[in-house]
Amino acid sequence: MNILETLGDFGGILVGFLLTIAILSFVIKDNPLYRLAVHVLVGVSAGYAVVIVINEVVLPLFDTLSRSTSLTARLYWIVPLILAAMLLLKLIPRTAWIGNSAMAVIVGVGAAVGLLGAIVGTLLPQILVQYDDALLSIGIGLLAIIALAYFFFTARQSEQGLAKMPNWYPYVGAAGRVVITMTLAGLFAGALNTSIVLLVQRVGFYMESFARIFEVFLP
Amino acid sequence: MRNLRRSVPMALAVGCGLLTLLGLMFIPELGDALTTWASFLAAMALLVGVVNLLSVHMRRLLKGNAYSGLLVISILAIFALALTDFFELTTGGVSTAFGLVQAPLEAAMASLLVFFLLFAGFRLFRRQRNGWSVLFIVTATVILLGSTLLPEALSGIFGQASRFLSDVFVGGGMRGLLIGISIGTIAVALRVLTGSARPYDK
Amino acid sequence: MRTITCPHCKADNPADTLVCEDCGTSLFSHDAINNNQLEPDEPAANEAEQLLDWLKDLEPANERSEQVSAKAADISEGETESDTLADWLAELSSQKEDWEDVEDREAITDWFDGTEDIYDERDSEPFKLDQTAPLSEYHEVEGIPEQLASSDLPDWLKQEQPLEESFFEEYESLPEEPELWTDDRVQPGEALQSVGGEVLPPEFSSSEPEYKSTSDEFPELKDKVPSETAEEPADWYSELAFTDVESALDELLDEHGKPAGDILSDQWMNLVDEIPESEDEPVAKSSFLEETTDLSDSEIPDWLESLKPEELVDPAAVDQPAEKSGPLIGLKGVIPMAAVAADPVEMGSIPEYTMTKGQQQQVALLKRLTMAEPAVLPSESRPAIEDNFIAFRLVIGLLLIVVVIAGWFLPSINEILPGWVMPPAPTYTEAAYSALDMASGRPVLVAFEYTPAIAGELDPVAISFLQRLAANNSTVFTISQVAAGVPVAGRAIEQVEELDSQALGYLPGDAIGLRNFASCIDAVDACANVTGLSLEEETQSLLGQIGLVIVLSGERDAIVNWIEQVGAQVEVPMISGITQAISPVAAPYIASGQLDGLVGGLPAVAAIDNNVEEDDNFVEKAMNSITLSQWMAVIVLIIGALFYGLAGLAPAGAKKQA
Repeated sequence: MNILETLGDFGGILVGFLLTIAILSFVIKDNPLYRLAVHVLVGVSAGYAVVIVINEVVLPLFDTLSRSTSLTARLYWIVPLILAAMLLLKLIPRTAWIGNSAMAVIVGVGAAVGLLGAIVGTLLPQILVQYDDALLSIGIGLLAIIALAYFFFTARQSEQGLAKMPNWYPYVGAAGRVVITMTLAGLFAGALNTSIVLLVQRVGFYMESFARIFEVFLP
Repeated sequence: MRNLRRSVPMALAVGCGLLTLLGLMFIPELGDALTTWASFLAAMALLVGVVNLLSVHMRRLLKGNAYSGLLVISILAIFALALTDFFELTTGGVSTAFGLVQAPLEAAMASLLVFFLLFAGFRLFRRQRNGWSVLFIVTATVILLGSTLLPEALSGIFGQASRFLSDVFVGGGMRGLLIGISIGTIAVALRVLTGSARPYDK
Repeated sequence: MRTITCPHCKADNPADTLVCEDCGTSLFSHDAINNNQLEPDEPAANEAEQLLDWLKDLEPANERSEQVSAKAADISEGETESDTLADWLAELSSQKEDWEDVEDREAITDWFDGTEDIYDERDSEPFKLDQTAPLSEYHEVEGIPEQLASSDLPDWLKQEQPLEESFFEEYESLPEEPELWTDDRVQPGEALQSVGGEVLPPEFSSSEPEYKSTSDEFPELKDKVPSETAEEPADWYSELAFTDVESALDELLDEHGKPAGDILSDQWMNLVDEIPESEDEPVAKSSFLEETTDLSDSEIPDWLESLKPEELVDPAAVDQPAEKSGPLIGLKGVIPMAAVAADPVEMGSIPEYTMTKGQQQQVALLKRLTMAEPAVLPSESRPAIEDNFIAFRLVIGLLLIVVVIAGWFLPSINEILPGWVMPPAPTYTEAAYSALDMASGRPVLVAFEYTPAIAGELDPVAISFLQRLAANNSTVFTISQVAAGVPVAGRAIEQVEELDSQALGYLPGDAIGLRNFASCIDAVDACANVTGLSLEEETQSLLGQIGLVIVLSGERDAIVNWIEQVGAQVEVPMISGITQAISPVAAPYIASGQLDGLVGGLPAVAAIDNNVEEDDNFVEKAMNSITLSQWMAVIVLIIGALFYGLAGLAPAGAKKQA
């Protein structure tokens, strides 16, 4: 391995390592080193997102429009370009209200897409799901209903003016709480497993990298 | 004038939403056009957000906030590298910055998670000492043991228990939660399409 | 300074004077005002100063003048002390010398002079009627308290004879019927002309009728102003029986004896007797009314008639016995109180206040919320590691790092513990690889919906998939809705050899963009561009032949969006590579058939795919560390549960022993 390349890699790896140490110092407590690293992360991420959007969306569009000879194709993009210009006016406080129209278009289209997707993509399939085992289907279906019943908060007003839940709620609610608790416990265990893997990967990456570099310098 | 400022966006939201519904169900060309425009606008909204972030932190920098200065410098450095790459003064400058700075920082942030999950799990009974905490800890422990290296006998027991808990209880509960989330999404979408909710009116 | 000319002697006087300094004529008659051409002069500073000026004019050239001015200053400042008022009266009396010097000025009556003596000998403090003792104890001078009936009283108060005799000698000179209703009838000069037998100053003399009636002073209004206005009091007033009031007062006095103080003595009562009774004389019709309109008598509406006092409707009703007790004692015509109201209210027993069970629970909950402290536990016997949370975090953190490093350097646990096994991979993991094989030779779309943060767990999954696709000679299209996912996809592609791939780049818009992109997959008509990105014809053709969609993500939203917007729209198999954290989220979609396969993180890859040749060592070491870390995590959870679970019992036990 070329020493120069190795030094270059070492420099890069060292920078990453130091930044990793700065982030992990938060385990002890919040400190300026951690804040410094976080601000650098936010800045680089934001800048990179802008570069990607310009490279992958804006420039290709202008390139397509410039090459296109079809008037229809060009007129097709007039409306979104006008709306994009209105959106840019949101940066100026006095004209920010103009950008609300462009945001409204995004929100309206997103609502329609989300509505159809939720109904067709999740609600109906999950209601109609069937397992091979009928008992399993019924059991899991009941558990799903019980889990939803836990979030039932509609009450009546009793004679004394107190909120009175339905008679079935204490029992069904308790059962639903059991299901929800176990679901959250499963999510917790999965998150713990994932985070362990991530830490192991990070530590292992630096150990392997330093080992590889030291192999060059320490035969 | 104020009514126009509120009513025009609302009309646009409702109109575009209904047209999109119509297009997605019956007129594919209309649906394609509207979704293309909206996705383009979403990309532009990301640009606006980053520019706003830059302006906010530049104002803080002028007030003397050093951290904001570092953030501004980071953004401008990436912009500069992108320009040099564009004009072919450098090669892969942005990718290098991504690999040397952003990737390790993001990975380190994610690896912090394990420490705080452990701290939270250790102190769970400090917060509430009741049956629900016991159930939580027992379930999490069984699932954890069901995914790790164990003696064969224990591995079989914990494996089956973990699978049972995951497939039946966790799967059933998650199914209920997904149905509830989809119902909530439908409700919010209907509120937007009827003009009851105006998240864009700010 | 403004001046006013006396209408009688034509002398100039200051505008703020009331009477002429030369002849004593009142300067405020209408003739005086009309005849005077008031020269605009420097206006007085304020009314108080104007008032003080004429007071000062009365000021004697003696040492009292300063007191007067001081007191006048006090008056201007708003003081209302009685001695202040008394002083100026005293000063007034001392001015009689000045009065005497005035030409044609008649002396003030004795009673006016006599007031000075009163105040000369007054106490330093203002007179205060001692109300602690009944006034009957006061020495009386013909019914007047001693404090008032001093030797310095004016003659008409000092006289031996009963008050009524001395007083009414002069009073008899007054008209029998004091005309109170019109200015025409009041003749101050005539009324008080001979009070006390003394000659009044000219301003009070009837020879100088400075006061004129309205019709005389304003002739132009004579026709309009009734010459004889209602001389008599209103009917209801005149019809009131004064004798009734008198008798009521008599009864009042008889019942309670002489009232406090003999103020209401017989002499005073006789004074009341002397008040002439009003006669019921018809109201004279005014000429004004006769001349102007022919007004017919108005009809009084019934509701107004009903409001007529009972005494007018039925005088006999007035002859009711007077009230003998209560607050309305002595009055007649009192409407009796309703019997119900007069009856004593019988209070029933106060209902006993009860609390329902729900209310008791609410009270208990409120008490708990407001007064209870969080249950922190720990006993004195246990070491308070957790009290120093930073040290605790440092210990756990360092321990975890040590475990990870140790696992990296230790040999494989499978070799150390041969009987220990990993649990088998779920069935849906094998189904994912089966779907990969089924898409052999066809284009496959791989969505890299994760950032470098999750790359540690998903990169092995992605590489495993890509390697299988490369082995299957499938063309791979990469796309990402995450900006950082584009370089992640590039890196993963770089690590797999002999893979035919094409990057579609960044897809904005989340669910909207996916819904738009879904039309490009498995479509009859190829889509020319993807959000502005023009696609080549070959690309368009391949996209229409996608055989499998692979979604790699660590976020719930990304998986759900792909399933809802793409999976539900196209008839293309979809598998997913996700982290263990969101495996429970994706499991229901496996059950519903929307996902054909699922690979949950590095352990699933390690368990099922042995085709990761280059990184076998890396994966093996990683699994070592992962296993040891999982054991440590389980131990930490159990220790924490025991530590805090049992620690909560110790304080209760200690309390019991105490």
